[in-house]
Amino acid sequence: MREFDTNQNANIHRGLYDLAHAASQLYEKTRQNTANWLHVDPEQIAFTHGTTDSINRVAFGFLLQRVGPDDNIVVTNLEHHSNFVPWQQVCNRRGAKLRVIDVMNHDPVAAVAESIDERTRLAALTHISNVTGQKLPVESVIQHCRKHGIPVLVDAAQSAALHAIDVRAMDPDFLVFSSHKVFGPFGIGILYAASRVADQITPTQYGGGMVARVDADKSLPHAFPRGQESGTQNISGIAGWSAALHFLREYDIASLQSEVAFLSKQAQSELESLPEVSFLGKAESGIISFNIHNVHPHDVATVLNHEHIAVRAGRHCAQPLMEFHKLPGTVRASFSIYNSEEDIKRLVQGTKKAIQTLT
Amino acid sequence: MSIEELYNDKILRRAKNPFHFEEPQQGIETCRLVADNPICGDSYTLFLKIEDDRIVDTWFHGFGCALSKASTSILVENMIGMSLQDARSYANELLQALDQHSHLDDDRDILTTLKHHNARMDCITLSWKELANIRQ
Repeated sequence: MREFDTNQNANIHRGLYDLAHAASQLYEKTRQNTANWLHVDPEQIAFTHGTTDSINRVAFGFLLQRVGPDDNIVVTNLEHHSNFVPWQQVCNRRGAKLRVIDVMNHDPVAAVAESIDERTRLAALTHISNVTGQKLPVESVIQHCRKHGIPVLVDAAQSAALHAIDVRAMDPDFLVFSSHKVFGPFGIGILYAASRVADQITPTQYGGGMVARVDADKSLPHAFPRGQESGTQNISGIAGWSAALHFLREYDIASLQSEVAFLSKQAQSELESLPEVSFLGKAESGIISFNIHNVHPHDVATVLNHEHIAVRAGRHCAQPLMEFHKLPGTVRASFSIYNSEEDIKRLVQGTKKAIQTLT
Repeated sequence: MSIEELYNDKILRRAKNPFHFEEPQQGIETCRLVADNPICGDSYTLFLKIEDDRIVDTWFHGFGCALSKASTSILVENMIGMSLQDARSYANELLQALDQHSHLDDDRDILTTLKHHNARMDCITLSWKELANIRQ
């Protein structure tokens, strides 16, 4: 990013000078590398500002015009607000029903199968919960929904980094995530759209860069993905995302994923020995979510911060899940490729200190 | 500041045994204030029983962290006997003291000593800001 900002700074798809050409090449090469990484074609990848932005484009550019009164949209009770509120908004505007299904206490595929009907216009679900780390069998859900002609959006924000997603094999209609969840910079998002739906996403923003032709009385947007990329793009961010993809290419992702999952399971196992600690969910993909009895998660996080341990505490932008479990929030420890077993020892020590200080 | 200084005895005692931490009995007429932080989820309802323009009793109920609970406890206990206008001034004085890093010579000093904990200032000031912002 620094190299781009210092020596290559130019806009894309406009200038005729060398710097502009190099910037356009970087941008499109990064689209190609993103597509290769996901096992899809570059024409199916649009760059956005993040996961939330990607979902909003599907909600308001694709779904809104297809939903009417008495229709429904299906989501799970694990969803982050970014994969909940846009669908809720669509339902509220159209008089449709948002069906929130419990996938923590019920088999997710069976729960989806029971909740969909001929009025279901879309199913949106997370691949991995940002609160509990629970991984959903999205492939089976997609297969089931496909049989009923229901498009599926997969929120891969938590899974994109370490789960080697083969989007062609998974075959969702839409898949979204953010660069910053994959070791890249903030402000860059990915919107994958299957070719069967890509050109049905009406642009939600109009302006320069996304139009093939502009007349005095009408304009013709580009096809997906460029029709989604209006105005000046975050090209510096794309340079950073390109670097993140190169970084990941150096590693065996499956083995990294397995190491991170091991760390979270080990952490849960060690924290379980503390009687004051209870868990929301079971460690399986790098995240554990816990509480200390009668202690607010923010107080635990403050003590851990003093021990130089950074955890997220609170509702994790997943208020429906917290209300479902009657919890004010949780402490979430997220493990990644830079963590080690030494960090688990420190987390356990820090948690003991929080118990000692606050109870 | 160490963690023991933040979660000192005075704070923890207030958090574990907050003043009138309950809803008033049925039949008691009160003014209600809701102090709510939608980001962290802390939320308290403050109940003020007012007679002849004086706050004659208070209660609060809800959920929040140790700091917001202790802080709200100090507020509701000390506003008894004040007019609503005095209570607002009392709240504003604390907010000003925290802002200016100054001290106050009463119970509120339990909170002003925490002024360097910027990350927790929303917890400490939650109910105080709600009171300071109400209209007469």
